[in-house]
Amino acid sequence: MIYGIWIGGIVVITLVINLLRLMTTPSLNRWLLVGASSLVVIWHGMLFNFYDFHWSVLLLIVTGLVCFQVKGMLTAILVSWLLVYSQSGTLSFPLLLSYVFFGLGAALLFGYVQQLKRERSERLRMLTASSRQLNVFREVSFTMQDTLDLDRLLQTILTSVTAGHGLGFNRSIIFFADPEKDSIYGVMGTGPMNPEEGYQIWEEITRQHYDLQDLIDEKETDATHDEQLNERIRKMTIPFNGEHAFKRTLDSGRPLHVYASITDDPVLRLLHIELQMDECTIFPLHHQGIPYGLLVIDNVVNKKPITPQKIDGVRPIAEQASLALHQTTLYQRIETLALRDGLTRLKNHRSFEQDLDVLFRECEGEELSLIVMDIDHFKHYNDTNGHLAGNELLTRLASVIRRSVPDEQMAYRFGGEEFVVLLPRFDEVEASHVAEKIRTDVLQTRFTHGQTQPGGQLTLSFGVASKHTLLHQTGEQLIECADQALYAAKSRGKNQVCRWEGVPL
Amino acid sequence: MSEFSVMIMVVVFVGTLLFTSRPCYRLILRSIAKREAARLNVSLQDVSFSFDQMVYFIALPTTVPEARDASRDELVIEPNYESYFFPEVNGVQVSVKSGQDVIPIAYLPLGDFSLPILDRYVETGLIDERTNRIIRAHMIIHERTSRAIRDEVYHQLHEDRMAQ
Repeated sequence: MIYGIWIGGIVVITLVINLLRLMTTPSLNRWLLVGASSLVVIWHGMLFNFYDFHWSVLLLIVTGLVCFQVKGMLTAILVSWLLVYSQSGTLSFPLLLSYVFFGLGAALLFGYVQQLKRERSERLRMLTASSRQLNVFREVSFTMQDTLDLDRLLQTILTSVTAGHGLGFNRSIIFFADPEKDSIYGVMGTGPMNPEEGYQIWEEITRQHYDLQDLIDEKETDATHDEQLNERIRKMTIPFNGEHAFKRTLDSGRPLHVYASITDDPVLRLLHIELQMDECTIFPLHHQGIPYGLLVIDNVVNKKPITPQKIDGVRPIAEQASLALHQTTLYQRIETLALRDGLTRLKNHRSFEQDLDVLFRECEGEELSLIVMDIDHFKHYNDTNGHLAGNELLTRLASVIRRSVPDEQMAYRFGGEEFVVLLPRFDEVEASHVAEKIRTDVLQTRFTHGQTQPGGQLTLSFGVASKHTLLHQTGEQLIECADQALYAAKSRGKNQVCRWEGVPL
Repeated sequence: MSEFSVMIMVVVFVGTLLFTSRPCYRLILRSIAKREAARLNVSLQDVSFSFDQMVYFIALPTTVPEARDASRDELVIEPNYESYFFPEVNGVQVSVKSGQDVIPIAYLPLGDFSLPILDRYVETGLIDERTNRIIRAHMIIHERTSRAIRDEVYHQLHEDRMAQ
């Protein structure tokens, strides 16, 4: 019976204290645990007449050690010794010594276990950090390998350092460097302008359960994303050759960790004023000595400190991004050489054929018009003013055409003095209006030696054709009909627009 | 008998402490989380959460047969506690138990368990850090979260990203 009460009492005391201590603060929790062990020891002593009290207080010493380390253990030793003295009436120093030895042994064992636990936690923390970095790096590499489109590449870099699936920073911004134009300018950023906006974005991402790929796709298609941030970034232009943090970062080739609010650096002041940036890290984006730009990260929402470990986590991404930027820039240069006319910078004949083919294939049910234009008496201009002047004229004319058409990416140099414009979703009447606008703009532009042309100024003739007026729905037929309309314009006195409607009109 | 009783006392005390501390901790978490949710007028069932910061210890897609071929039921979701005496959830780990072998698959630290609404409450001072940690801990070991984590990990293990 007495054993039942004794064991039941220990269980009840432990259970009640266990429940109570877990409801309190960590410090009170420890005190309550020490209290529970004291109660159990006293409970045991009361039932067994404090017969082996000097042994049972060892529990108190161990609890003191577990709860308050060595200090707790030493206090518990002293208290236990005094408690035993109060019960026995004898001050036994050998007993005190044995408590100290027991305590030291327990402390060594406890310390060893704690050390193992700390090492395990640290290993887990490091493993988690490295695995995250590796995961993001792998994901980003897949995406970067998959694209040579600059916008998508930039979006991938930015999202990989900010999103939950990424490295988790609140905001990231990319600046491009152009040493030739002595300029560093803002290109793209992702993240909120302030904490409130940040929470709204997080809640949305959490609700939608986006993963990294989804986020990149979403941000690429939704232009309203980070609108305010991007608006401000794109207005930022900083001289390349100046005394500022960006230049220092590019020169050193190493990340720069700074506090924008407590510095006189002009660039950091700008970031602080325009973007409420404070603690931030600037990473150089460079490859083989060529500076491409800078990546800036900060935690504008949760204000989490940017630790050296986190900076180390971004570095491989920044280096990978630099390589991808290098490749994309090279690709764009090659693409420009292959698809652009070297003189006028308009797209070339090859590019026109590709685009025409795509438009015919992909927009089968949609209208498409073509304007073909030719400079009147260009041979006369060349013969009178020389071929260099002729080239200059073509360049100037190309810029007039570029300004006068709805989409400059649809204007091409067809060859020689002939230019063409593709107009998707424009019928022949609307296309004629565009042609008329180009004609008028050319007339209103002063060209060098333009007055030497017959009629006293430079003029163009235009032929317009639309898909729905064709007998055969092919690109060749469209060119053929627009050409016939152009010949008609030429034969009817030049400097005019003629459109094809089954016959030249 | 008395010397023996000291040993029994220690075993019963420590045993009760160890065996009941985690269930008591979970009970307290639930109770405090519910009370705080009622105070904040929030339904914990409707709170959006995300484990997008979960870290995978294996490459995805994986070629490790035990992980690649694991069924949903073989995925074990376990809370990672600070200690037996002072139980506090540090995160949730996912592993595959194959016979005697345990293969760690993923880990979600508590601090990276995304609950934007709680971050907002902390920022606006509606709750303190301790309450934030308690609700977060309750949510991360909740059955609904475990189910969602299991589904997500299973999906990640079986999704062929290269095919995208």
